[in-house]
Amino acid sequence: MKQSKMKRAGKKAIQFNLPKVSSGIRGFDEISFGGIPRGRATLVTGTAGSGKTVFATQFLYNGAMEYGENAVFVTFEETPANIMQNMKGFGWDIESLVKQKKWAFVDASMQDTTELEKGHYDLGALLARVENAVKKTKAKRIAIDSMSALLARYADVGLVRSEMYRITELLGSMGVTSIITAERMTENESASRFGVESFVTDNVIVLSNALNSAGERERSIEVLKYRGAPHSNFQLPFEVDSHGILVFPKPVLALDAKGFSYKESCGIPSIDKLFCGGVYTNSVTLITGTSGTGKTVMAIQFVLGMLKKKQACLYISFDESKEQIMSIAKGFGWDLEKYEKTGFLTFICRSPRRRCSLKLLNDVHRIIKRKKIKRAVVDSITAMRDAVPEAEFREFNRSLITYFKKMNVNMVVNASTAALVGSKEISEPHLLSMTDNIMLLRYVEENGNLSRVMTVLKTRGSDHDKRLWKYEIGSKGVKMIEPMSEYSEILSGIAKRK
Amino acid sequence: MVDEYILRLYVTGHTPNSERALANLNALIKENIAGVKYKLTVIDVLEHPQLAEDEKILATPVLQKKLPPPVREIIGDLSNKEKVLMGLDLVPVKKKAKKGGKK
Repeated sequence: MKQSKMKRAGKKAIQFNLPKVSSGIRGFDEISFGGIPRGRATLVTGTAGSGKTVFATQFLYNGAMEYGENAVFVTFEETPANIMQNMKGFGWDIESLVKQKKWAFVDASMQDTTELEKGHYDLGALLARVENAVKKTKAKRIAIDSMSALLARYADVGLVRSEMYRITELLGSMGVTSIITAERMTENESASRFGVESFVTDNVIVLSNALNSAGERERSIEVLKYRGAPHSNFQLPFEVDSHGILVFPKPVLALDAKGFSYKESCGIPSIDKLFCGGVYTNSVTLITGTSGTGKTVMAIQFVLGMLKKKQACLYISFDESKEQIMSIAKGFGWDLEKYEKTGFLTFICRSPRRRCSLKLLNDVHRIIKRKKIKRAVVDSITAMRDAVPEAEFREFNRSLITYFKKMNVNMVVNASTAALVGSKEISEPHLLSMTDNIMLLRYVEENGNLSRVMTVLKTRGSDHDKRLWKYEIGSKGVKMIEPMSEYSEILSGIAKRK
Repeated sequence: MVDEYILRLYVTGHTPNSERALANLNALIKENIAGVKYKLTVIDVLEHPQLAEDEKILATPVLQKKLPPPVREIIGDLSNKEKVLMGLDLVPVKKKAKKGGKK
């Protein structure tokens, strides 16, 4: 595994396939196609509070913990004691790594002793200290935080530049992968304040923490360049949570779902009959209907059917809280709480807003994998449509559906239609083409009563019942009554007896 | 009289800057503070990087006055004699007292 200190191929030979080390930052390896360029220096730049120090520390900490790559942290701003204290908040115990000689600080934070600058000098001592620390710990990773602080301290910018160049050369020759942070004054400024990046490093990552039009801070990360290597070209959202930085990559949309193999019950036997024996395991069923037609009740029943077979389910709600859904279920005598407690049922309840979709997708991916989810319900997708820009909505749907299919998850999507009766609208065209089964729930006026009618509009890869069925939401959930074979013009909204 | 001065000169190998700093310092001591007791140690940080680490030295050459307090550091090749003396709180009293540079 360990390549013995790959002598740098030199600058002449730009390798397209730049070797990288795993960053240890969740989601980052995916957007950077593998992590941080090995044995090279990478500049991480951003405004104050954009997460540069956390990025650098996480890179080092996980390197030492997960990948056996020891670390050196060169700090020009905070003292080592402060860094160790602050990073405890993420659960990173740097102190014990220092004790185990897997981590060393080069403390270049400001000292009390006045440094009076006279005559010619260089930063040879810094270089010697860095080299010493790397040798002492046999470090493979180093963070220098931040170059801007160093530049601000010494009047001679040209000198600092050339000394940084010497440091990166030295680290490169020792096979050490480095992260150098630099501060930008504003979000719109070029990569860094003193224009250091161009000659210090070929690789630049930009962090930003900008205010959006709604007055919220939005963190994002972008790999600006990796010299001679491909990387994702998006500016992607990230979050700093209790475990550090979490980047939300765009899901890869490979159409590699398996074909349909066998059918399973949707959870309501009478509806299984409409589908001629249930739905295919990795199919997507769209249930579209006006408010009050029982979409949520059906969704709960679909989930319940799976839970009773001890199969894990995910309930994504954009309209109601977990408690509301559970109490709706309780009204029918269904105990969802029990399944949630035993881990079979997982809820994601969120009020959607702009740019929420990547984080949501990432959470979904994690849950699907960890809990081995077999069926997922989205209730309702309309709330998402109303909250996010259309492009984001489309991409979200496509990503979600593609992923569920790939993971062989059976999916049920609810969509609301606006008109009470006689709606011509089914749902967004792109949803119609992406889903395998479509069920229509409608109100219909019949002899002065408002009745509910359902029908299966399509099932991909199977036959289905083409009739319109009258149904009720009774005390035990959806109850099929009879096909409305004596009526015509039902979907106009007013059923006429033939 | 003043206490004994403890001076350390940190250098990186035998660079021109290092050599110049040492020569300047020796000349300065001879000329200006002949009466003062002092102990000067020259430390090559390439050989003793840990000492540089402990003292948090970044730039070289650097002259460090350990004693008497306060600790002072003067970066560079020490070519500006007067500023060095001032930085060391060593303004020569007996020599042509500079413009009010007391203490």
